[in-house]
Order: sequence, then C-alpha cells, then structure tokens
Amino acid sequence: MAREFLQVDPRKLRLPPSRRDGADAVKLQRQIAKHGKKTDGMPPLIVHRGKDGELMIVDGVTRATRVAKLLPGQELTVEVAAERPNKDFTNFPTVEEKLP
Amino acid sequence: MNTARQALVAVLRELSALYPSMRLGQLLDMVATLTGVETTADYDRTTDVEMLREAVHHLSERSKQLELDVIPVESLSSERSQLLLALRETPYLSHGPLVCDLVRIAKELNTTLYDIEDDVLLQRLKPQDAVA
Repeated sequence: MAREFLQVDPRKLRLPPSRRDGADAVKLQRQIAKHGKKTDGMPPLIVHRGKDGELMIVDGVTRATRVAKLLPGQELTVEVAAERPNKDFTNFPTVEEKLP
Repeated sequence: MNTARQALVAVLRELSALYPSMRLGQLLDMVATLTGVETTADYDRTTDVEMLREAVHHLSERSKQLELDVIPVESLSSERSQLLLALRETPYLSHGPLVCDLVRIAKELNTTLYDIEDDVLLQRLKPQDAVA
C-alpha cells in the first residue's frame, strides 16, 4: 500500500476510543488561542480506513475539532496509515457529533 | 517485565520513529484499536501478546508504505528514548497489560491515554529523576 493522502471534511471523521467524547477542552482552547482559523503548515492528520471508507483519527483530534468548529466546510488533508476493510467504524462518534 | 511487554516496548520504539509527531499514549491507543478496542472498558480485555502481534503487523505495513528498509530509530527524541527506557525499568507498573497501566496512570492524572503528554508520563514513571 503506497502512501495515500485525502482531502476530507473533518466533521465526518470518527473519534478514537479514548477520545470518544471529543477533543480535550483545554487543549482545544489552547490551539484556538494559538492558531485561530489558520491551517497553513498544519501537518496531515493520521487516519485508519475501515469498512465503507469510514475514517477514524489516530492523530489529530484537536486539530480536526478546531477546524470543524471554526471553519465549517473547510477540508483537511489526512494520511491513510492503515486499511481495515472489515472494521466498522460507525460505532465511533464523529467529530461533528461531539463538537463543543 | 514479561517477554511480550519487553518486545512490545521494543516495537513501540520503532513505531515512534515512524510516527514522530505522535505521543506514546497515542501510539498505544492506535495499537489498541488494531486489537479491536472500541471503548475504554475494552482496554482490560486486551493483552500484551495481542498488542505485540498488532504492533508488529502494523510496523511492517507502515514501513512498506513509507518505503523504509531501515527504521530510523536514531531519530527518536531524547525524551521518547527515556520514556521507553522508563517503561522497561519502572517499578510503578503492574504485571498486567501495558496499555491498562498507562490508561490507569492517565486517569489518575485526569487525562486520557490519547492525550497524556510524554513529559508528564515520564515524570510519573521516573519521579526520582530530573527530567529536562
């Protein structure tokens, strides 16, 4: 599998198990204070791709939440680091469902 | 430290080199999801052996993806190296699964496995040592 980068709406990304409740509020406020609406130079989020193309974040929950909150509709670059075609990620909430 | 845990820490060292932007807790959380963990309650159901199996598999896949024949472990930060060493040597961990120990520590510090910072974890594991 070659490296694959996608442009996606961060609201649709699934949250990982220990971040099922969404981004850490303190970290999110810190990132908003530091970066605001800026996305220049933001490294790609790392995701895994499950059944039906659903994407789960493994690195970048706070960044995805910041952009989803401050820039609705803005897409972000993600890197697909693993394919898990049999794994149903729909059990995990999306960033949108847990937006503060 | 049991053999599986020792081997898991060694693989985490290599994964750290492939994911330089990720905290150790994030790496463990990622590997835990590969074993099938879906909720925080599921961490108790995984084992070091399962974590090791998935970590080794993912390491192999990710190395191919990045077209790396040799994993650049020399690029690891000093802090990550100290942390991995602390995982091997600390008396503060149980004989249960490594991921459960770190989930417990994160909870005690009012954070999560995903969010715990390396320096915080290192201070917790090596409270007697000066941490830069």
